[in-house]
Amino acid sequence: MIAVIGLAIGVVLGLVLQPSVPPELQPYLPIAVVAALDALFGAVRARLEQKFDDRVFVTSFLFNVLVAAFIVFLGDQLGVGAQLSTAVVVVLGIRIFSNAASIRRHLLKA
Amino acid sequence: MSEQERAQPLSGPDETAPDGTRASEPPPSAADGPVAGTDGASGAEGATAASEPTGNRGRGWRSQLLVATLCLLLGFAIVVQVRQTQGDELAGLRQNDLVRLLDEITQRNEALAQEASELREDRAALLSGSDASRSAEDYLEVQRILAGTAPVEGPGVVVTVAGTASLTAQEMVHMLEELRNAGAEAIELSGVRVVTSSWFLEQDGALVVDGTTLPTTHEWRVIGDPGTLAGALDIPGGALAAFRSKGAEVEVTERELVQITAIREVTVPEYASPAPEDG
Repeated sequence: MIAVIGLAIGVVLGLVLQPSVPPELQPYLPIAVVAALDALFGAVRARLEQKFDDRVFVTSFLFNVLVAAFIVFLGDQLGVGAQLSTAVVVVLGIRIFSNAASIRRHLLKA
Repeated sequence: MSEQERAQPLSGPDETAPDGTRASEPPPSAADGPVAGTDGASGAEGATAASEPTGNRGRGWRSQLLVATLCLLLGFAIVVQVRQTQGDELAGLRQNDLVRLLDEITQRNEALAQEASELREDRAALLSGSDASRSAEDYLEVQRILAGTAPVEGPGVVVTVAGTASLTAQEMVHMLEELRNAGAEAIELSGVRVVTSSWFLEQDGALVVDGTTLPTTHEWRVIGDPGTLAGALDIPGGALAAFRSKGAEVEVTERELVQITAIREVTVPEYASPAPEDG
């Protein structure tokens, strides 16, 4: 519950403050967001499976974000930034979909 | 969901109850093995059995707070990214795309600049064309005034000469030339527009100008600088002095507005035709 509240507050803050992304962070933010979404979906699924753990969520969240950003950074350095970004998004998207499927099965029993 | 996960001991519910309360001690059997498998197998991040005994409520609240903070960051980042993407579509593009876009824009820019310069030339041509036509109109106006084919008005003098019985054509020409010397631009003599081809004649004791017999009291209407005209006419030994010496009564009036309504028909030259410009 507190997570949902935090999410809502974050959205409101973003809407109210209307910050601009620093240029050096701009390539990483979208990937980081996708990675964090992946962690969030995993957490929701774990919660529904009743094996949620704060610590794992926090570490996986941060780690996911950092690894995703690092992969993009590496890709940029190697000259394949666009392709690696796509790869990361695809992989994370697949994970999000599978997690969403689990969540759906838990919620709808179908 | 993998078999491994299904087989995983559900120690979570004890660990983190939905209402956030914590069981005091997890079963010691909930070890790392299944957890690592879960994480790697299907990416149920955050799903685990606690790998170590968790402590008191203080840590639980801290963790909850941490989770909330992360979610807050996530929501914040999502909104920021969405706004960024909507606000500036270029921001989401990568370097290669940007370079390509820049190339395209540069080419388009050059094409447009070229088009603009062409249009500017066209415009200049059209403008000078209308300039030419306007100056031609002005020129035509001047020619009509000079040729006496248009009624004119402007500042000038009106000279009334009475008792002209003894005046000679010579004196009339003298008067006319004096007016022209003084800068007269248009002259009318008793209803006859006086132009370059005008002539005077003494016939049967009367003066004739361009075939029209003048009345004994005739009137010069002259357009030009009134002061200059009047001054020139009043010169001792001038035309008016000659008129007076012949017994005529002369009156010169300077006027702000003199109207010359008499016009002259232009006859088409019978022999002369414009010479070719480059001879």
